[in-house]
Amino acid sequence: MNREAPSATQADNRSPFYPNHLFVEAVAALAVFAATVLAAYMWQAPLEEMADPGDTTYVPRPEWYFLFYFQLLKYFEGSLVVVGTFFLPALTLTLLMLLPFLDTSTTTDIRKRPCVAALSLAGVVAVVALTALSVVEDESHADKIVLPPITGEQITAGREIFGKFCMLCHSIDGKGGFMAPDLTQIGARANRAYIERVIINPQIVSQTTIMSVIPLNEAERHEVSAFLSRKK
Amino acid sequence: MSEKPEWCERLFSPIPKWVNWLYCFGGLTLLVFLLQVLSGIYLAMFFQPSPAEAWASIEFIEKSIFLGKFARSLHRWGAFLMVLFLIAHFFRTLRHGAYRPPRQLNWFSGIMLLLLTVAFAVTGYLLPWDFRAYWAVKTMGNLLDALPVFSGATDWLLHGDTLNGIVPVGRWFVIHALVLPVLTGIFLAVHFFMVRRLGVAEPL
Repeated sequence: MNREAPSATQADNRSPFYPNHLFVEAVAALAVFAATVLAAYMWQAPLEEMADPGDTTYVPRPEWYFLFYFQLLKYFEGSLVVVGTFFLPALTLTLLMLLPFLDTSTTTDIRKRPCVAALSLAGVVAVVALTALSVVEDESHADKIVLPPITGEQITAGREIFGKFCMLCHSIDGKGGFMAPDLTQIGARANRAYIERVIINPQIVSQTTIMSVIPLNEAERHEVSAFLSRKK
Repeated sequence: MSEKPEWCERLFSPIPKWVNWLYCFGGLTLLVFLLQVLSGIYLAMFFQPSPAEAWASIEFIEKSIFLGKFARSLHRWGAFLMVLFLIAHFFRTLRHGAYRPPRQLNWFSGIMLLLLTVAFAVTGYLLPWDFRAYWAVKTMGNLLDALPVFSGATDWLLHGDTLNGIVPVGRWFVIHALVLPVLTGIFLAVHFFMVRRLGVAEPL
């Protein structure tokens, strides 16, 4: 590549790529490589049960970098969904593409580019806040129900209640109805708190579910969730 | 005295003194991308891109293949770090105003690489065809259905051409392992060519 020879002043402000900057790059690269290998060794990728289109009890969660968008979409319902799915992403992308033409300032000082600074800050705050909100909402939902420790008696009682109320539609271990998903391995896919929430409000799984609220008191609900959470 | 070869000239060519560790994020993103390519090739050797076999092949990779579980974890962590470094690189560029003329093409190719990374993340998420993958496709399809142009997207995403009712894991795999890497290679070449041509942007 042909570049103009640097002037004397420019030459004073320059340092060789090797070894100065290459050393920094090499150290950073080695650190990242070591961290990635260590993380892969210590925290392994999860693999859930094979997809079952008939089981609607699963609530999907995206990876952390999509949580902000996942949370954002919760605020747009009905005819407004198109705002979250199309207009906002399209607007953001258009702004980013046009940035070289919109920011005509001659300085690189971010403090002297208030529009870019404000928009960048607003973007960062929005993404961080939405991500945090999504995590907090998930945790608060999980913590809303205080669960007693599981006992053998609870599991036995839960099995009886399940047989009485739930097996008309759901099946387990090959027995029961076939109108609703098989729950033989439900404990491997959903935790106990989630099972309790579904019993309290089946609509959290799907707005269109035909499952009705089962008339159980708190103790009975704990027994059913104890029984189902052990079905793995 | 003989002339130095071009690669040697480049290695010793001076760079501005103010280039510091903040300028490493682009290179680190490339490093992680290369890790992704290597671990991805290894995984692709054993992955079966069909709805009936995808999940079982992942299980096979994890349980029976040498370093299979590790390779899959490395691929997942690589994806996390790639997104992280890309965000850091994006904000460094934004802060230094490195998108302004004459670096528009750099900026556009960078935005394209950002979008391609998102596409990598989405398509990769679906490949194991476990519960998360299925419901992610379902949710995505429902959202696309809200758009007039994309109505029926769920059907296309889940059932392919519906002639044979096959869930298109193979389609996702081709996009993830072939189309996106080729496009990424093209935009990376443009990105690096422009960096080489224009140098790095000046900070404060």
